[in-house]
Amino acid sequence: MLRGKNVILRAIEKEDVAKLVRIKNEEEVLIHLRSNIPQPNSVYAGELDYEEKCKKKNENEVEFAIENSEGTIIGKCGTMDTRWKDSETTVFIFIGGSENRGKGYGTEAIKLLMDFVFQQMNIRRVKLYVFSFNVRAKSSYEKAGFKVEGILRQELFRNGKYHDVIQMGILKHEYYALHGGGTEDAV
Amino acid sequence: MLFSGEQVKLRSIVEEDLKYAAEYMNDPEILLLMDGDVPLPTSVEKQKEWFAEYLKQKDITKGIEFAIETKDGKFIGCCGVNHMDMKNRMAMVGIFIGDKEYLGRGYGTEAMGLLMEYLFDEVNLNKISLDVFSFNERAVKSYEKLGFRIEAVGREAVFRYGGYHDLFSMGILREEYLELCQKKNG
Repeated sequence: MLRGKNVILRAIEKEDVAKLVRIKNEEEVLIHLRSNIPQPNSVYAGELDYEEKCKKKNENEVEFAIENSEGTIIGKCGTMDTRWKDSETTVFIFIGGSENRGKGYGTEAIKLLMDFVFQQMNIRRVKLYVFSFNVRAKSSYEKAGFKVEGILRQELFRNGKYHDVIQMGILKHEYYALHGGGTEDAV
Repeated sequence: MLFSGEQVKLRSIVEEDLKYAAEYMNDPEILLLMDGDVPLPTSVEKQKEWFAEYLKQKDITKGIEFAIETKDGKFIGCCGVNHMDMKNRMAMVGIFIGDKEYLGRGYGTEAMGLLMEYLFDEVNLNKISLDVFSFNERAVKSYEKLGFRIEAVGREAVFRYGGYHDLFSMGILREEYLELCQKKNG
């Protein structure tokens, strides 16, 4: 378990799946999270995916449930597409419920995740993609230290038109120069 | 004309190509520019295994491969789609010219141009993207000639030759492609 001031990152239990599916189905999450067709997800499909993942034990993907200080699950974060040779991984995060937004939960969860990636996974570069209209998420990533590395033009069709996708990235030494801590061999 | 240019044509890969493909891919100069995976030597056997899988694949969004053949019938490399997203109407493409005699002479550029024509005019895509290593200057130049622009620079995203290098993501939009075609035609 990774413990921060206001959130903890912990394993996703089977009982969490239905709650996570409901969060994913919130419009605010559904339109910002993935580039595929934004149809609502069923709890059953979520449970099947969960069981598949538990069986596979894929070390390229790490996932955490995000829980607030009241012990309520508010979202999920993790890594995907880890490229060990290039020492790079891609991170994602989503948080549901309008009452949980703007409280710094996401920023704190991202920091816990980044520390885990750098200190436990032996990764030196993290990237992510954010849709151009997701202004809040972009500024949260900038706060965490991510730099805009480019604009992938018109890669997302949503709500009747094409949108840009922003690529952001951060290197381990940049992260620890900004936030302090890390190890001696941070570069 | 579809699949056919002045110097090269795109055609289906046939089993006969595989021994040349294996030979090309075992050349470190080619292998280290091809993709970002851990470089491994290959064999005709391995290529045959890949080819058998590819023949079974009916879902074009998971990949389309073309052989690049010169007008005098020589197989010199491959190009194709690595991944296609039909909802967002975009594809990730790739190419390699394995016979070094044909490098730097416009063969690759023409082959990629044919692939673009196919994807924009027949598959109805809105965007074509590709990733290229920052140290592969010949390829970057060729893609720029075809109208691709560098859209993102993944800083130190590729480990190769003992160090970290930038990865360029390049892209061309349908509207840009059509404008280029108009200019070329008159």
